[in-house]
Amino acid sequence: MTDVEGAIRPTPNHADLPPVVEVEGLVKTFDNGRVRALDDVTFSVPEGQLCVIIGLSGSGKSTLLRHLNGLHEPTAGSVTVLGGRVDQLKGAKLRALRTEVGFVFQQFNIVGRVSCLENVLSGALGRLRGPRFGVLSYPKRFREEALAQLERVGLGDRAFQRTDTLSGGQQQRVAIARMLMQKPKIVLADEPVASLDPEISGQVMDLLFRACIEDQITVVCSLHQVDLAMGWASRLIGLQDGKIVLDSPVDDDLTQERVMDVYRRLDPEGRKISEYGTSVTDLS
Amino acid sequence: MVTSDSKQQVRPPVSRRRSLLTATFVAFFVGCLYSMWDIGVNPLTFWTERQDLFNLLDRMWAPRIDEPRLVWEAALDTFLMAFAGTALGVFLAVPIAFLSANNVVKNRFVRGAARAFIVVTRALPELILALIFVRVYSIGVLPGVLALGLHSIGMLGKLFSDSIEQIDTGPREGVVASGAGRLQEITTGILPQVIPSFIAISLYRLDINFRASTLLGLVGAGGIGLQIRAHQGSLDYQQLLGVTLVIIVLIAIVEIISSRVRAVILGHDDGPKKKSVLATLGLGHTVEAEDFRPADGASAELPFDREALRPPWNRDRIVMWIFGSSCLAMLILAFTVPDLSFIEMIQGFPQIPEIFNNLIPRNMDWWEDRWGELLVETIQMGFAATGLSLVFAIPTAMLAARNVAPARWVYNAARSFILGVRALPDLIVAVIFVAALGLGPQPGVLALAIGLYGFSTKLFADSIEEIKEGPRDGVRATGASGLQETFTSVLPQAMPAIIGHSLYVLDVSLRASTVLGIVGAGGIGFPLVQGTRLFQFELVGGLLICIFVLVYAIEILSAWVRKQVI
Ligand SMILES: Nc1ncnc2c1ncn2[C@@H]1O[C@H](COP(=O)(O)OP(=O)(O)OP(=O)(O)O)[C@@H](O)[C@H]1O
Ligand SMILES: [Mg+2]
Repeated sequence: MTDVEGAIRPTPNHADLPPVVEVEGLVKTFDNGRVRALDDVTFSVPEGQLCVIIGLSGSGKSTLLRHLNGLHEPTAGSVTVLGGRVDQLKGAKLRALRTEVGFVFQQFNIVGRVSCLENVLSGALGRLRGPRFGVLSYPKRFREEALAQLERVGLGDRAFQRTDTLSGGQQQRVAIARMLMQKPKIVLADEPVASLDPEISGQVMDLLFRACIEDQITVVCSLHQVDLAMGWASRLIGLQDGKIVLDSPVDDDLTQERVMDVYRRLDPEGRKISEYGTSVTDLS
Repeated sequence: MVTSDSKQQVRPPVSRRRSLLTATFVAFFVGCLYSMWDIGVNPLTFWTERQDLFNLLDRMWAPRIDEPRLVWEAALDTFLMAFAGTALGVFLAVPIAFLSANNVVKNRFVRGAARAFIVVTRALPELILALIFVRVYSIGVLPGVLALGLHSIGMLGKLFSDSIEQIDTGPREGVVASGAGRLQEITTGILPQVIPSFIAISLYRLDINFRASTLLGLVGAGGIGLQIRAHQGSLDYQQLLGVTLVIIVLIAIVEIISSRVRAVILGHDDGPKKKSVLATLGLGHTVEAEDFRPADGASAELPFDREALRPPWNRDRIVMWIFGSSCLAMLILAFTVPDLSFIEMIQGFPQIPEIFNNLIPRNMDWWEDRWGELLVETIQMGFAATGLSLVFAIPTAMLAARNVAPARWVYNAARSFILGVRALPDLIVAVIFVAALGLGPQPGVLALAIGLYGFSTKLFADSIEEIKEGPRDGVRATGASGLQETFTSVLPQAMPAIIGHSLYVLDVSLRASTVLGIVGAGGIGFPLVQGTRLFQFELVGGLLICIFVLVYAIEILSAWVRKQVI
């Protein structure tokens, strides 16, 4: 274990390191342009940074993250990850890049019917050739490695339990072990704790960020919970209707007020309304 | 670092359940392989026997129909026979389904009796029933209708009662709470919920019965099968192919129409559409001023506009009316166009118990050791055909599942291909293969495998389309290749369905094997047919009991396996 603890953490000067994620003028529309999910998004993430994206539901967080490993194709703009143009790569080259980019999903996206160990093992598929079916179709070395990863997330004793018999928090931990099994350079996490209760959320985030710091993995993570974001992130990006409205390192200048601004909605006349209240503050 | 302890840890633990399942699978595979080897078929047989098959195709080419009028009339008769048979089946199955539903009937004996009736009717092959009825009513459409109707009770009753047992209890409790009687409870609390699925199931059965009805003529029960038999008898292969092609097209058309109508009725748009079919039809009791009369007998006005009490003529309601009236029209046609007499049918009913009574063997005189060998051969044919069809079906299903197919055109091509294969009635293929390869189980197994291939590919592809997309995203995001993704995230999710359907295919295969002998393709079917021809009813009954035991054993086994692999 390192001496990492919550927000008290050495903040290396990331800006000196080469960027591992570069997004230039990214636009994404759905339904033939009727929905504009991302609108001219530009930012870059240097190696080792823990970058958290916040924003209201529907602001485009998931859409942005899915572009970073090529699960979506941009309408315009470019996406460069680890020096590869994700928006242009296809087939084997895209898959090769994906093996370096781990993804943690809000809905876990694990195969419920198989054992935890088998789910973790599937993280190694990028390192193996040919299809696999069943735990025993993976080499022993990999099985041992997967078991070690499961132990790391505290589920070593559940290796052969069916994954859908675990609780939500445990299932997400299996998904994190799968991601670690992949040995990625970057981790994309899309609201990894949104379907968990606050107590478990804290534990799972702790696990995820600790492991990433230990393995020196760059993190781009979207979150709903501002307190968790402020606690772990070295940088916050705020999205509103597909546009970046906040991009700041997490330091004393970043006040609660500025962060909460991201969570305000604009009404059609361009005035801000607070998320839950009905009172309208005139901006002009 | 690796101790013997951690070696143990990275292997799945052995449990009783796991080893039992493994043993079952090994038995299944060994059964399939041994049967294929013993009968002498393998996936390459189509290739090695190509010479004989091409020779026959050569003799069949070009297809010809000398008397289109006759064929057309026979085709119409066939459809109406299937329709009347299905209607009869539905009519008989509905009360039985209610009697066997555990949320309607509390008495275990009544329920058990209804269940037993369902199981028995399902195990009686419609072809054998038709043969028996042909003895009673002579050649014509009527024996076919009765055979289809009686055999359909099995599947219809089972599926109907399943959907009755699955209803929401809420609406029913609401009706009970409002002080309704027992019958009102069923008509208002249960019927509206189950009618859409009843109609969908009946349409599905109509589809199956239409396939079956094209064959009934082979045993003299009217329809287009009579023509097949005639052309087979006179070795007129060009006409045989002509009529076969007509049958294929008709079956495909009926399947397409029935699946479209099913989709409309079940409401395939995901919206919260659970409107009762009765309400859509605007049927049921219209509220009258009577119903609002105050207790003291003073006359009452309807408290609202009368028009508002009738459902509006929207698209749904129009569709339902068209559907309802065409059903009625076809039922009327069924009793007017073919020489099917309603009176004759009713008059025949009292004889039916007598027939079945004759079927019960009084002693074991009917048994000959040959029957044992033929029964074993039948089981082998069933396993061999299952194995052969599954080898081809699982890969094709991957191409025919929208979400897994590598490209849209591959999906479309694969789906059209299996629709075409499905429309080939296996007995007709068996007739053709027997003509090409000679008598015996080998052509029967090949023909059956083709039929099962089309049937199981569709089942597999449909259940692969139902898998969740999330886990696929999860595996894809690790950088897995398409094939790896399929094996790691698609197959494990589809496994329960694949196993369940494979067992179902085995079940269907065994049932079908019992009748292949009718066209000389091996198995117990031949003595069954001979037995009915020669009025040896005890022999027929004895053999039917053997078949029943066999089919029922497989059913119990597959129920157990299904429960283990969910
Ligand atoms: N496949 C799609 N088709 C059409 N519209 C889509 C699709 N995916 C996303 N959108 C739209 O894009 C916008 C951004 O969606 P996105 O899922 O990225 O938001 P989000 O910030 O992740 O929200 P949440 O916090 O609820 O997960 C939304 O308006 C959404 O409706
Ligand atoms: Mg999202």
